[in-house]
Amino acid sequence: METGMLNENPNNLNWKNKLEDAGGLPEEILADKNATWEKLHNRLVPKPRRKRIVWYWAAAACILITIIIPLLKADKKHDSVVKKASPQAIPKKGFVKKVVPLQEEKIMAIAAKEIKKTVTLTQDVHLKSEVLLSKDILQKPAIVSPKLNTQNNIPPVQIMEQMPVQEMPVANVIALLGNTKKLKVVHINELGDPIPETHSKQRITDYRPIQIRLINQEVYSTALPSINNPGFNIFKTGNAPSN
Amino acid sequence: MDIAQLIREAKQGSASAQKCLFDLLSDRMMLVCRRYVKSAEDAEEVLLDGFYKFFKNLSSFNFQGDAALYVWLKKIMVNECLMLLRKKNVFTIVTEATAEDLPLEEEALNNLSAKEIFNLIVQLPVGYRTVFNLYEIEGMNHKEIGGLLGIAEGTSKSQLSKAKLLLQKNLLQNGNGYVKRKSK
Repeated sequence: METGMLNENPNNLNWKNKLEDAGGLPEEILADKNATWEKLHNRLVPKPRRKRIVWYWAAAACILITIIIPLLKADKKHDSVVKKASPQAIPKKGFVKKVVPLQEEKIMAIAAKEIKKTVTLTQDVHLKSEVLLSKDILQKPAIVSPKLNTQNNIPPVQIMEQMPVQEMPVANVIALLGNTKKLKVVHINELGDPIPETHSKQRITDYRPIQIRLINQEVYSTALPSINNPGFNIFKTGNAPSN
Repeated sequence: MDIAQLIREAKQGSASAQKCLFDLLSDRMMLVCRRYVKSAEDAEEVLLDGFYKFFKNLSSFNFQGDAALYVWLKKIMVNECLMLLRKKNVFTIVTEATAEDLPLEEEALNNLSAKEIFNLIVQLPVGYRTVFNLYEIEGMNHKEIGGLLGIAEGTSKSQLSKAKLLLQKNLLQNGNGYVKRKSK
């Protein structure tokens, strides 16, 4: 461009020179040169306000730091308190690798023993189902107590949620209790069978009291069967004449 | 004070040297700006921007004489003017392939005063005026103009020929004074 700026037409220098001459055009030049210079000077000189702004930012940063540091410290304290309260929540890696297989074996053995005990106590009808259950338990991966399930770090609540509630056998419940405490084994028949109860409830509606009056005016009636006593009862009423 | 000395001091950040340079060059630069930008306020704004860039980039400038300094500063000003015209979107050029290469009535223009020449140029439309200024006064060729304005070379030529036609027309309208002076 600079080469282009050099004038190519030497013939027309006069009128161009006239245009360049500020003296020929006094109206077109700057009216107030000082004011224009002031504007330019203000642009050129770095403003002191910027320094102030920097100080404001620094002060704001300091305030933020003073607020944040105690908050972070408080959080750390809270975390340490939680760790102290539940030291087994996050076990060490080495501990998990060494101990977990032994614990699982123990649990399996205890679960098997408990199942055997229950099997001996049950009747022939229940034997088959219990044995089947015990087999299932041994085949399935062991459900360990919350304290001992450290290998996968799965919370016990999650394990319970994953299991179908209706299919959860008694032996599994025993296994969940852990190996340290030996709880009293209760047979399923001792807990009571819910199925006859529902039957009896249904039958109650079918029962109707019957009264039989004999010649000697002894009245025999059937009372409504209760849940505890579902049989056919005969009561003697007080209307019978005394001999 | 010597301009070279002023440049040296201005490079070091001397405000007084910068003011001296501004006082020396601002009038001529204002005339350059006014040729491109019609409004006096806009021209002043362009002048300020141009001088700001000049002082900011002064450290990279090697002083080789007054003419070189003038050319460099003028180039900055012209670029600033073109930037303003582009920003304001007043720079509309209709593309035309054909262009007549009309001769400029140099003699007629030489006989006019600076103010008359200035008024003739300023009266031209923006597109004509810009191409005329760049070609006839700054001495650029059509390729350079096309590159600066983002137009084709042919468009630049047609704009120039139309500008010259319009100038001749305006010269004829003010012909009485021109003829009288020529006859004398």
